[in-house]
Amino acid sequence: MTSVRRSIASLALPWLLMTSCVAPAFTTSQYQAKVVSTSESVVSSIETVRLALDLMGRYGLPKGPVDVTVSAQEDIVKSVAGSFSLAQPPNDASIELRDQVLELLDEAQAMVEDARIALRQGEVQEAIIAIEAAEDVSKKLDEIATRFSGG
Amino acid sequence: MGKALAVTLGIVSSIGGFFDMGEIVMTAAIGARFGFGLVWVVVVGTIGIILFAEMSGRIATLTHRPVFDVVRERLGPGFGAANLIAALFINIVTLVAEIAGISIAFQLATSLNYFLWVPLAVVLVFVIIWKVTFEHMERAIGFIGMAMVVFAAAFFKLGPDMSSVFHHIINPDVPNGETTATYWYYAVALFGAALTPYEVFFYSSGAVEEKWDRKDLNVNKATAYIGFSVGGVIAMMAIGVAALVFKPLGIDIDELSQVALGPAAAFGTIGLVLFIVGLFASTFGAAIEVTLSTGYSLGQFFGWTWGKLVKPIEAARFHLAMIVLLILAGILVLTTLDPVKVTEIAVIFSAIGLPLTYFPVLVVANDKSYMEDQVNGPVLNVVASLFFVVILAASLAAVPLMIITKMGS
Repeated sequence: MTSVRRSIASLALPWLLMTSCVAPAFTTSQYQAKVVSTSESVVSSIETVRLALDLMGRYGLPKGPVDVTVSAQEDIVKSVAGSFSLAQPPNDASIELRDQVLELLDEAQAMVEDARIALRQGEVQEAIIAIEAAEDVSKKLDEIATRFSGG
Repeated sequence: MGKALAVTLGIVSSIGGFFDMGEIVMTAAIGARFGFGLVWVVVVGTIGIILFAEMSGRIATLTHRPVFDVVRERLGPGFGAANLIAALFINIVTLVAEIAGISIAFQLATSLNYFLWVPLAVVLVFVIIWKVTFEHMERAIGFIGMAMVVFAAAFFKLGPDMSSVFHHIINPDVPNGETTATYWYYAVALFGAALTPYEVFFYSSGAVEEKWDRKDLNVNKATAYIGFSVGGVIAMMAIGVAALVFKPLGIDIDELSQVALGPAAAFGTIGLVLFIVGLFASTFGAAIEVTLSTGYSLGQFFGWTWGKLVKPIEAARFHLAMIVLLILAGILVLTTLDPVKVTEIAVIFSAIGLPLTYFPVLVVANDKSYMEDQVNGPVLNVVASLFFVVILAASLAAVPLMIITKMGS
């Protein structure tokens, strides 16, 4: 191996390790775009769970497929919330926005979890009540998404 | 078999065959995001698959040789190899999506995690290919796949305002919150979903295996024109169901289980059950077709003995290639790849590789030395050539759109 190749290799390894460990820095607009995509994704999950449980209540859909749907959306909410919490806010205003969104994400997670637990216990009405409580969270997240997407 | 029965079976098979994981996922995702704004793409894609399948079936019927074989001879091994590599890549990704689709259908029916069903799905696909005749395979899967007609029934049951629906179909626009780039990205993806190359290779190779001759040219025409048209109409209805159920609620399609809620919103448990049955039949049928199509492509390119009707011991490499492909696809599903994302990749790459598979078919369909008096007529030729321009444009636009939109996000 030539000395040039050796030096490139010695620089490349730490660079790769550093870039794989450090979260990317966001600009304000990138952070707001992250807020929009996170909010939209969680609204979609809450509304999916609401629709599934509403149809179960109305038509007596079997528990199995509804449970699969609700659990998949719970996983999405957890994953999206986890990814959002790791994003570095670029300034004080973004930190404020982050706190506001994280609070709503925590509420959403708890409500979807409650709905899933009630559903698995066979308490369909309890599950519906739990997820209906998330309507307000869904609306607030939707407002945030609309505000920052310019829509 | 009587001609009427053959035509009916062909039509039913192509309706069932039109729907696969790509159609199911893309129609739902697009209806939920763009409403009726991309229905026109289904019309264009359906015209394309009709042209593509009819020409391929005609070539196979008249030459008694599969399209891949004729393409390699007519355009040389270099073009044939490019065609093979493109088809192989698209087929592997498509098979991953279909195996995931079968497993998710089992999951929806049993609540057991879909990863547990992957080995069974892989084994089932191969056993059916090995043991069941073409006729029984087509009949069973085609008829069960007709359960997807639930989308058409659901669309009307949901009671849409038809004047508003037609207005949005005729005057497509980019909804608020979406960019022009994402609109066109999904247009290309939906186009790719309608025109997956495996359908055509399977169709034409099947025609050779079943020893079609000139008498079957009308069956070929009816199957392609009527079967795929009805399939296209059902795909439009599937977009409609998603537009009516999901879009008003702001639901994006990230999971296949969400799609089931569309038919369920119209018919309750019956709608849900029909969707699960249709999902199983569609993805299972598609998995069989992709697997056979890959075996056919490899066998025809390398000159192996090939064919589902040939004893496995006499076509060992053909069967081994299919076994390896199925195992590879099963392993890839088990790596926890996201089935919806994999499906999106499959349909986008299908659009990218389409010129490589469509162009040779167009050339051979115009060559009198192969087609004798059955070359493309002047009108068909103009339409098919114009369509090649559309295919080329979609193919060239696919990669830039994929990068600009970060895969439609």
